[in-house]
Amino acid sequence: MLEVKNARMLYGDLVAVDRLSFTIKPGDIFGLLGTNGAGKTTTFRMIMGLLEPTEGEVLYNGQHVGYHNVNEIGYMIEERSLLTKITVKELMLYFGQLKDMEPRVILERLDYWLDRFGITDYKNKKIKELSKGNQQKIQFISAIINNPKLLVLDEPFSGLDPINTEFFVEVIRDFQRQGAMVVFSSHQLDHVESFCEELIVLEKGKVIIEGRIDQVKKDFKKQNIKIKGDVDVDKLKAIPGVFQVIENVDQIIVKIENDDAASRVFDYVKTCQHITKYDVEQASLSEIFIAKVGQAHEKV
Amino acid sequence: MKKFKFLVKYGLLKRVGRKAFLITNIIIAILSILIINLPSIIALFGGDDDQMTDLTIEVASELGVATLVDDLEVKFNEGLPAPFYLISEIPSNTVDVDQFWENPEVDVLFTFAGTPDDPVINIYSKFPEMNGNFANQIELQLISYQLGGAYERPVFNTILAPDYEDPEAGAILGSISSLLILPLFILVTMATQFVGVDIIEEKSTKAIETIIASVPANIHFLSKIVASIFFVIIQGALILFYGVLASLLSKLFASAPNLNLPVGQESLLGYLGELLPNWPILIIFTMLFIVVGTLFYLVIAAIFASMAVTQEDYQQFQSPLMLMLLGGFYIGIFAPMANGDGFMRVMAFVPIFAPMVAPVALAGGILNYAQAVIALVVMILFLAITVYFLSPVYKVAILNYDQTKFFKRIGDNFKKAFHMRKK
Repeated sequence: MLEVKNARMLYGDLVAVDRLSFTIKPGDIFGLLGTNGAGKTTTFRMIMGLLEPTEGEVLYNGQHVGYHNVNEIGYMIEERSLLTKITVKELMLYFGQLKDMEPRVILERLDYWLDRFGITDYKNKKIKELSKGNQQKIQFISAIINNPKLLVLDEPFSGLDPINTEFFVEVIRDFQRQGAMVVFSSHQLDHVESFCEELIVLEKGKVIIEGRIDQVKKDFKKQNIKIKGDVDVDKLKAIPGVFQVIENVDQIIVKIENDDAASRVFDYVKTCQHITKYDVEQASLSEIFIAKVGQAHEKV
Repeated sequence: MKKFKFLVKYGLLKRVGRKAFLITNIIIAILSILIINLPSIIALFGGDDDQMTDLTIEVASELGVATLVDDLEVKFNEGLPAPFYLISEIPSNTVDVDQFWENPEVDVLFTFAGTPDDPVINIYSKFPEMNGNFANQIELQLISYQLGGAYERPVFNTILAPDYEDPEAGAILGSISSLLILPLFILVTMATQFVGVDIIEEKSTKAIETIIASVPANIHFLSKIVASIFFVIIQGALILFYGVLASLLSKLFASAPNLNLPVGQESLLGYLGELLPNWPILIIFTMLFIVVGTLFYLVIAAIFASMAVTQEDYQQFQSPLMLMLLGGFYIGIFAPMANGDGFMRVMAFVPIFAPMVAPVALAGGILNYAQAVIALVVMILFLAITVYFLSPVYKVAILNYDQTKFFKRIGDNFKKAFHMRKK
């Protein structure tokens, strides 16, 4: 279990992370979101033991994260962190042995992962000769080569095409099934929404959203109603509780403040002709994110 | 410890297991052989144009040994393909030393006084570097006259011309300094470059994040230093080996009769051996200064590299280090030529210059052994203080990607390290 307890990180007067607390249990996938400079990387560095919190603590299975238990952790940083002048094999041997792995085991696992990602031909190629996407795969493999029990992934999908993103998601799910804890950050909120159960959104070091995604959505009262049919947009806009109406090519999206507004919109739509679609959906994570971060900015 | 050993091994193999290392060493070996055998090579290509063809010696003896002059001529020319020493006798009462010094026809004058059992020999020589050889030959000859009696070592007085200036005196220290400092400078520069480039390569690619996530920053720091020191030791030993190899080759050249090399000029090492009779102690001191000095420079290089973010950045950050190294190099090379003994003595105690200045000062007799030990102790203390104060800076700087101006960045990193230490 990973426990971040009231962690606070100060750089001089700057509060990089302010009293952050969360717990990740084996088999959990946890999302850490936020705009640039929100404190995600600082949080990851505290989890990895690279930074000592000014206040609070980070515990991994009840112990402080340190070099005694780091071999059980896999870490992938946001930017590419590969030695570009050496080959894939040399790099894995280097990084793997830093995790106290035997060279034989490293090479066995490397063959497995290269095969799984469909890049077996690149084993003896220099990193700098690989495309950005393949470098990303190699970096991901370097994070999981030690079969970690805690996987810390900072923007793992950055720069990946949808097919390779699916590869990554599959592997992360495999680790989840094996009981590993996964904590990751991403700007691609659809990925967070699709496979992460719990999240925290940071803004300027402070937590602005936290909890299980379904609960977060539920707590966020605003909803979207998608309508196809002959409706008068001006009348929709005039309904109390409707704060925005978007006219798309094939449908109209009505953004409402709460459940009461939903029933008022429904009452109006019932009076309209040729209605082929009427869906009330919870706000997307992206909308919640933008709304909450916007509020946080306004407060500042 | 396992990770530390691995990192040291990895860092070392990265240097010595490469083609560049092999090529560099082939070049160094060839250059060493060429430099050490330079006199022979010059001689081989006709460099003996101004070589002496004979040496005229006059002997004035009161020993009463009738065959002395003939015996000496045989003894002196023993083993030479043609007579080189032309020895003639002059009456003792005709000896005029002033006239001898002015006479270009005569090169050396021996005067023998006393008895064969208790002789006193004056050697007046226009080639004082050969006096040792003259004395040895004379002594051997006189022993043969003393058979049956107890051996008494003759008394030798060597007298130089009043206006004599040893043409080699200034060159001696210059030779020593070049031969000591140049390899040292090359070794230290190579090692600091390696450690700096290694660190900045890992930092600029952000691979350092993954590495420091697996090993503590201080272990990473120490492993880089230790790997580089091992590299210096290996490379230093190889250079020494090339020197020995070159020396053996020079002996081989000298023993090859068809090469017809001039006697006594076959090897630069032989020449240095004559100049520095205390060379074993000198080598030990030099090695100690190299190791401690290189450690110091490596620590500085590692710290600067940790504060740099990009390769270009590092070029700027390593300038102070290169200035330090060049300072030591130029002091070591030029101070002896400028007769700056006092200046050298002072600089030998300044830790940032001592690694290159102190061995030369010791070889040149400017420092005695006690002073060299003090200089070494000062350096070790300075190194310990440097490591104590700068290793926290490395810990702070290695994961810091701040790209503010040079001095501000240094200041910020020191401040953070200071806060960390306080905490």
